Amino acid sequence: MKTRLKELRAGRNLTQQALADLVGVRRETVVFMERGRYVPSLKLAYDIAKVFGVAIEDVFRFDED
Amino acid sequence: MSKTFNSRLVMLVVGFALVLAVIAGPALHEYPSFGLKAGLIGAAGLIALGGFIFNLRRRARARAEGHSPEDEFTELARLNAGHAAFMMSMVLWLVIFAAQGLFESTRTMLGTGILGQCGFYGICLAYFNRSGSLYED
Repeated sequence: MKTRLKELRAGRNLTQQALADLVGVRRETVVFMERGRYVPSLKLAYDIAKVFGVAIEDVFRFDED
Repeated sequence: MSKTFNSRLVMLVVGFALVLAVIAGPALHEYPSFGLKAGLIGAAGLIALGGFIFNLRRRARARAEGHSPEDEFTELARLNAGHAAFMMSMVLWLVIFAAQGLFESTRTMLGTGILGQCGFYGICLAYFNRSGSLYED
């Protein structure tokens, strides 16, 4: 999984904790998502995309293989 | 499944097995004395109590600061740890029954198996919580 989460978050001057509070998760979960280690649920991905005002595929991208 | 999952977890489990062998080794050949048993039980109790208090304080602090103490990742980490620990426990019991001659009594054998199961779960939970790599990756 590739993600633009860090880039989008930096663009909005949001800290990891601030984003975590906005979508109701722990800061560690945001860290894991930014590193591409944790694949969020559809609900969480939707909530994150909503925070940035973009589509889910603009935040997360899955490789075909 | 994450590419790093197997190697890291196997190393952790092997490490745990070595620690268990060092601690339990003397007890397997010689029935543990009251002092050793009391020491092991006391140490396990202190670790469990310490972990419980640490978690309570961590959750209370997170709530006080308006953060989420738990989320979908923590729930998935528990489920993944339970699954991985169950798979390892099946192998552990197979090994224990295959090597039952090493144990002084049935009680020691069962105790080692139950302690090993708890240890496997703890290792897996710590691994998933620290690495962030779950089976879905």
